[in-house]
Amino acid sequence: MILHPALRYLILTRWKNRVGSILGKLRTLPGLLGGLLAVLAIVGLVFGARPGEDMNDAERAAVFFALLAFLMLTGVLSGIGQRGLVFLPADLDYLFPSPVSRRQLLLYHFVPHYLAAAFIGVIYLLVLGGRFMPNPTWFLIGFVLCQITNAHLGALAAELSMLVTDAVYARLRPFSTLITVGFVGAAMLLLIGGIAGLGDVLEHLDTLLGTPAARIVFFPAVKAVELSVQPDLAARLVALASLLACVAGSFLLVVLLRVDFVESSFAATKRTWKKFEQVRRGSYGGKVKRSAGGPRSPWFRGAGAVLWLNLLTMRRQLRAALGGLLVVAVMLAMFSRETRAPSLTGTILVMLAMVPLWMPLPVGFRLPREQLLVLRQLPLAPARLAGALLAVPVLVPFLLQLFAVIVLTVLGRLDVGLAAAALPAYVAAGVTMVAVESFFVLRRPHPNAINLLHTVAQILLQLAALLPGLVAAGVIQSLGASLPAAIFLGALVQAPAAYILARVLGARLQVGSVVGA
Amino acid sequence: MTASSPLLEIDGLTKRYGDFTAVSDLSFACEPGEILGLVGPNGAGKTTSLRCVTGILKPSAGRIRVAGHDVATAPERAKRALAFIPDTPHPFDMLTVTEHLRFAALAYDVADPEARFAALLEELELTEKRDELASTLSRGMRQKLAIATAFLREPEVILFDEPLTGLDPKAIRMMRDSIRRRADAGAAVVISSHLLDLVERLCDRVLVLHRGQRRALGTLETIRAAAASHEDASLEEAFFAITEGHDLA
Repeated sequence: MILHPALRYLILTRWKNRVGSILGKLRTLPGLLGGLLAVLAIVGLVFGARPGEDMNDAERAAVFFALLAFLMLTGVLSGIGQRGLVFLPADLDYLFPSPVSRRQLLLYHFVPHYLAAAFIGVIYLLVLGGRFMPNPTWFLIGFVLCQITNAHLGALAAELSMLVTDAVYARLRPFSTLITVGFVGAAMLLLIGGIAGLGDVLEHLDTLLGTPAARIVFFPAVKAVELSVQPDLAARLVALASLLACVAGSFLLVVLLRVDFVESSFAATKRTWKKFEQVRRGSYGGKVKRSAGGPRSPWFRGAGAVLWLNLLTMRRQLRAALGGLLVVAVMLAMFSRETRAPSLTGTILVMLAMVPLWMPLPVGFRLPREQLLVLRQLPLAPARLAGALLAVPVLVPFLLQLFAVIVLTVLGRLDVGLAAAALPAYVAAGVTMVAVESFFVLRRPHPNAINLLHTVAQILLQLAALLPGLVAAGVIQSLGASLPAAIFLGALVQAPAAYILARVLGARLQVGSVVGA
Repeated sequence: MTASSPLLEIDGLTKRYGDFTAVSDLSFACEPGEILGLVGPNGAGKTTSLRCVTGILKPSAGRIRVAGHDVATAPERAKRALAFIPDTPHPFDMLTVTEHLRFAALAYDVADPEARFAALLEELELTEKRDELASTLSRGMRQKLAIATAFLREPEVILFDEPLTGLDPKAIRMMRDSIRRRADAGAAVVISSHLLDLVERLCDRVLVLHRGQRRALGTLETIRAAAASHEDASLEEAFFAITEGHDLA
C-alpha cells in the first residue's frame, strides 16, 4: 500500500519546513547557544552514559523486555482511553473532507509513529545501544519493529473501543482508569526499583515476564529482545521474521476491522487538542467551577490573593504534580547509585536531576504568561509581588523533593547530613530557576512560542544564575570542608543571588517594562 | 445527472448522539447556481448538518448525495465534488500558503494547478503572503487561505460555515462577490451564518433550522409567509417570528 502523493507531499514538506525553522533559529545568539548546548548534551550522553554497567546480560534483557512491555501496554491503554485516532486540527479541516480514502488516512496516521519509532530508536542506540546490548544494530531493528507494532495495536485498541456504545463506555471508564493508574504505577515502581537495584526486583520482573501468559501477551517484545540477545544468526532471523509478521498482522487487523473511525477520530482529535491547548495556557482543569475567597489575614497585605490563586490553580493540576513526583522518583533512583559514594559532582548531578521536576510544571501551576500579565497590575510592592508569585511554584516542588529525600534517606540511599544540607539548596536554587524562567515567560512574543531552543537557552541561563552557589560549594569543599557543609554554605551564597533575582522580577512586573509583555 | 438536477440532495437526514437528536428528518436540495442560506440559533444543527454532508459525521438516518454521488456509498467521489470551509480554519502550521495550494492540487488531482495559483492568490489578496508559513497568518488570512484551497479545484458544491468570520470590511465585500461568481459559474453554494443581513442580500433561498428541525425553506417571500410577517419584513424579523414563535409554543 503506497501513501497518496498529496499525503507524502504534506508529510515531507512539513518536515522540511520544520528543519528549516530550527536551522533559522540557530542564526540568533540564544538559538546558537541553545543549539550548542543541545549538541553538547547529546555528545555527553553518548560518551558519558554508562547504563546498566553493573547488570549482567540477563538483567539487561529483563530491563529491555520490561521497557518494551511497558510501552506496549501504555500504547494500548492510551488507545482505549482516546477512543479514536488523534490527528492534527488541520487534518480535520483539510484532510477529513478531502477525497483521500480511509485506508490512506490510516497510513497517514501511522507514518509519524514510524518516523518517531526510528528516531527514538536511534537515540536509544546512541545512548544505550553500544554498551547496553551486545548487538546495537539488531537492538535498533527490534526496538523499531516492536514500536511500530505497538502503534498498530494502540490504533486497534482505539478502534475496538469505538465499537462499544457511549453508555457502556461511560460505565467501564472508571474501571479502565483504575486499571491504568494501578498498572502504570506498579510498572513505574518495578522499573524504578529495577534501575535503582532495590531488593530483587529484577529477578521478580524476569520471573513475571517469563511466564507463558506474559510471553504470549507481549509476544512482539519477546521477539525484539530475542533479536537483540540471541547469538545464533538463524535464531535471530526467526525472531526478525516473527516481528515482521507482527508488524504486518497488526496493520492488517487495523485495516480489516473496517471500523468507521472518522467520526470518533474527529471527536477524539478535538478533545485531545482542546485539552492540550488548555494545558498550554495554564488553565487545565477548568471544569472545577467553584469560587473561593482569599485569606483575609492582614499578614498577607494584599499578596494573599496571588498565593490563593496559585494554590487553587495547583489544586487543579494534581496530575502535573503527580507526574513531577514520578519523574523525580525515576531520576533519584537513577542517580541514587551516585549517592552511595557521595561526591560534589554526584550531588550536583542529583540536584540537576531534580530539574525535570520543574519541567512538567510550567504547563501546570507554574507561571502562565497570561496570569503574569494580569498579576503585574496588582498594587503590590515589588518584593511582595515577586514573593507571592514565586512562593507556590517553589514551595510545591520543594515539598515533593522533601518527600523524595525522606524516602531515600529512610531507605539508606542518601546521607542524612547531605539530605539536610541539600534542602535549603533546593529552595535557593528553586527561587533562582523560577525567577529566571519568569523572565523568559514574559519575554515570549506569543503564548504559544515555546520551542526546544528557547527552553535550552532558558536552562543555560538558569544554570548560569546558579553559578554563585555551585562555585562557592566547590571552593569551600576544596578548602577541606565536608560535603554537607559545602552544600549548605553554597546555598547561603546562592540565597542573596536568588533574592536579588526575585526583586528584579518583582520590579519589572511592577513597572511594566518587560519587553514583549 | 442532468443539468437541472440538484447538486446537493439531503433526504431525511437525522443525526443522534445517544438520546440527543441534533438533526431530525431534514430534507432539502440545492440547485446548480443557487446560493442557499442556512440560518438558525446556536445548537440548531447547522454545523452538524454540514459535517454530515462532508462525510465527517455519519448520519443516524437519511441519505446525502453530492453531484449525484451518495456520501455513504461513494464518499471519495462525493468529496471530490465538494468543498467545505469551516468557521475557524486550522491550517498546517508548517506549510506556506503556496504549499497549502500545492497539497490541495495533489489531493484533488487539479490539472495544471500552478497556472491558477497567481490569479487565486490575487483574488483573495494573499499574493504577498504566498511564501509565509500559515502559523504566522492572522485569523482573517487563515480564512482566506481555506477559501483559496477550496476554490482552487472549482468544486460543484461549496459549503461555508460562517464565511465572513475574521474578515475586514473590504474582504467581506470581496468574498461576497467571489461567492456570487462561483454560483454564477454553476456551483451550488450553502452558507451557514448568523449574519442575517448577509444571508438576505446574498442568498436565493433560505432554510431556517431550529432544534434540529426544518422550520421554513424558500425565498424571502416564502419565509415571510411562514412567519406570518408583513411583506416588507426583513429576514431578521421573520427569523425571530419563526424561531421564537416555536420557543413560545
